[in-house]
Amino acid sequence: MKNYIKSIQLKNWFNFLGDYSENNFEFEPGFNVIVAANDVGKTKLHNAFRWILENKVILRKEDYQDDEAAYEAVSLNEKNIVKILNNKSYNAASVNETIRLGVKVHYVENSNQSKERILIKEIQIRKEPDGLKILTELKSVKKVERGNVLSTSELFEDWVKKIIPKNLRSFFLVQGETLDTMTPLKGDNLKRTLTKFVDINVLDKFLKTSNYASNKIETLRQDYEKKDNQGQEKLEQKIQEKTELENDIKRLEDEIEQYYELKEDALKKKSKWEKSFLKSKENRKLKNKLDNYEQKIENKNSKIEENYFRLKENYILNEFYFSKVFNINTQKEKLENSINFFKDIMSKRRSEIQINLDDHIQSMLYTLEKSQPKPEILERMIDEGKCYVCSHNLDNESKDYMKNILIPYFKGQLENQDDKFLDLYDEVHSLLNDFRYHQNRYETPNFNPFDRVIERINEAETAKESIEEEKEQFIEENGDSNVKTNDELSISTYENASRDLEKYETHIKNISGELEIKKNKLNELKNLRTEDGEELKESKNTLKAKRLEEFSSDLRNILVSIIDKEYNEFKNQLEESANKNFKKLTVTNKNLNAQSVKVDYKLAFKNQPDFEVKIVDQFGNNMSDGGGAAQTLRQLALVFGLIDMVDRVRHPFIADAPTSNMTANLAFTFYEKQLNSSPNQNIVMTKEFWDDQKNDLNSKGNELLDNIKDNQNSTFHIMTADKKIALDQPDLKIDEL
Amino acid sequence: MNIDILIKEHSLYIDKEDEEFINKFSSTTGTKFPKGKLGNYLGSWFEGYIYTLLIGIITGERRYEGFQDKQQKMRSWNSATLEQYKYCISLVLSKPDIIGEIGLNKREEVDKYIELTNENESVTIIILNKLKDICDQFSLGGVDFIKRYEEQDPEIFDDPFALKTIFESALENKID
Repeated sequence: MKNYIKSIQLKNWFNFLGDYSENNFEFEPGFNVIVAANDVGKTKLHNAFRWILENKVILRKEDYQDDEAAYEAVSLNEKNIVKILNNKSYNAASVNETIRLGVKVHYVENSNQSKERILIKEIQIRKEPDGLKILTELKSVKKVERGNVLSTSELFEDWVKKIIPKNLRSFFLVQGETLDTMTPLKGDNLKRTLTKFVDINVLDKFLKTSNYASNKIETLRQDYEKKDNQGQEKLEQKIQEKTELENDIKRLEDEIEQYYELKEDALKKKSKWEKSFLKSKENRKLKNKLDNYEQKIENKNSKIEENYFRLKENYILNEFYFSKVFNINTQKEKLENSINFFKDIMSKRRSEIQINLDDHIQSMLYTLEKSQPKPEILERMIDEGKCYVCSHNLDNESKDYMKNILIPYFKGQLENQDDKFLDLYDEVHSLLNDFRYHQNRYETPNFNPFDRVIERINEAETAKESIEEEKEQFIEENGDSNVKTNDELSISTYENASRDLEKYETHIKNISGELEIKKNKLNELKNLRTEDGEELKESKNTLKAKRLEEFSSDLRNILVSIIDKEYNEFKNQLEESANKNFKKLTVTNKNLNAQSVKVDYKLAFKNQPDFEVKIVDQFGNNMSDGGGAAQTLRQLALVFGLIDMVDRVRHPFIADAPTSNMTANLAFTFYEKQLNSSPNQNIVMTKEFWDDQKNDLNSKGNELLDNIKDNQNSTFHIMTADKKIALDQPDLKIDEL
Repeated sequence: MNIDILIKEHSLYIDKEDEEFINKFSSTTGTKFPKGKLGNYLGSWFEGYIYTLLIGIITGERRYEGFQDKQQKMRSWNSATLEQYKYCISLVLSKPDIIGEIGLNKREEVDKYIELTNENESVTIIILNKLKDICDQFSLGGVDFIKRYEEQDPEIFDDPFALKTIFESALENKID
């Protein structure tokens, strides 16, 4: 037979409104499951057990940071009591009215003969205008004999210890949300928890006592030596020196011890950050390399762009298009033709200047213009009356023509007076000439810059492609850079820890050196002699003290080796026991089942044991960082491993949402295992079997319910919220099936 | 009279209805487009205008009706494309019928210029303006040529050398 909780009753406890009889949960000695949706009251019920057993409740922190736990176990006080007291009771009470809240646990102990006790814990509160005041806390024990409830003088605390002893509470009273903080898997917390179970705790204490004794013996010996040397005044100085040296050594040893501790911390920090540091460093390296590729690609892009730009800017618009348009010589000719058209008209017009002259004369003048006859010669021809060209005599008509038309014309005296016409001619002619001149600007026939530039562009494109390929391959082999903001943090934290470590090691080295020197000096002084060479006499007491000193040192060494052995043995047992549970818990999951629990142990600084519980795969790789279900399984395997190892009494196991991180299958396996093979009473609250959408049990829940129905030692509870007041603090409807 | 200064007075216009199409191969902002676009893209409408004008001149394609929706892009001509613009005008002038069109091959027409000069208008400005209008018509003709090309080859502007290809096609259709 085992010990078990027969029932728990609640009064005005969180959302459990009303007196004890209205909030009564009955349990059987076997497996008891309470299924409820979120916020219905699982944790609140769990808190009732915790309050009775540990005088604490688990509450959500008011303003927790992302990186810390959201829940913490706290004692009740006037500040938080308002969260625990039922809201409706609080609202219904008038100012100065006294309200009670409390928990009753009915416990059955089956040792030699069955004992039944009811443990009652209540708080009396007074409602005040500005909050609640705790008046008294009442604890009492009642015994139940043959169905009668009787008073007893037994102590409440004694019975609490019997339900679940203090050192086992981390494992018998668990809560899913806080599982990892309450049942730690490494570090000082785990060590503290584990050492509670190991008998060598006594050895530890013994070791401490032995250290203490050694120190005492040393002081004693120094005192004796001092006494021995009384009267040997000449040696006093040396003795003084020796004592000083010994004190120095002690001080240095203390100092070095402190540095060892600091070193240990730095080491821990370093190893904690090592993984992320290496990853971050890899990331940084990777990023640099990828940046390098990016830079190279960027360079090629610039080159391509530059060539395209050059193509357009320097060749296309300025040279190429124009050079391709028309043959430059034909073009010049054409423009010349256009200009000549204009010139012809102008010449014609110009010859029309002398409107009173007939066409024939005008034509003659225009023709003569090319030979430019000089007016002075024409004048001489008139004077002589003879034509110099044909040597005939000139008649008067001819003389008049020469005098009135030819000579003034070539003297410029007959020029056209129509300035506007001349201006127009000059202006248009100059405009056309300007364009004619301008045509020479693009005298580069068949200029083609394309081949050269395209070749350059293609070269750059090819180079760029090969860099991109190289980059792709690099990413395939090394992964893309995934630089997180905390990369710098992990690098600096790790580097700082490394620097600190180096610093402490230097200190330790320096102090060790100093210590060695001092110890050597001390050795030299060990056999003090008088100036005459006479050996210093040591009293019997001093000799005894010295022998004691040797003994205590030997004793310490022996103790350490025994402690080491004991811890090792404990570690092996724990590993085996946790593994057994882990295998059972993961029977439905092939992957997880192939892994196993490993307990690491070493005797660290100052002979303190250091434990770590890990999960490793079949090749021994550490899989503990998986989190989620694996993490919870590791916790539970440890919890049940320990329970199996240390619990001979069979205490009740009370858990709130222990499977909250697991898949439905894994959770179901856990409950089936507990139902069928747990030697302890189990009271487990869970939501895994509740379907929120259907507002009913899910298929796994129904399956478990069917199994429980066949088992007389078990119960199945469903808690649902009354929808009318569910938005506030829901009252309960409890169906026992 | 400095002809360059007079030509620089010319405004740059665009046919608003063509602008969306023109944007496939040229900026129409009138100023320099930031470096970064590749060779198949002309950085300003000045460059685009010269390009279409050349195509119009080569192929003889000319939109006589002029702009459908005329919009000024720049008030005056920019120095960067002045040389090319002048060269284009000289090409226009080389066309045999143009001298006639601007009225420099008939006495009566020239007389009209003299009349205009009597009203204190500069003949150079008048001729240059006429040439400018003709250039606009050739440029619009060039745009029409490119539009037709794109109808036949809708993906032409995906090719980085589209402008070269189109230009070479225009050269194949060259008229003397």
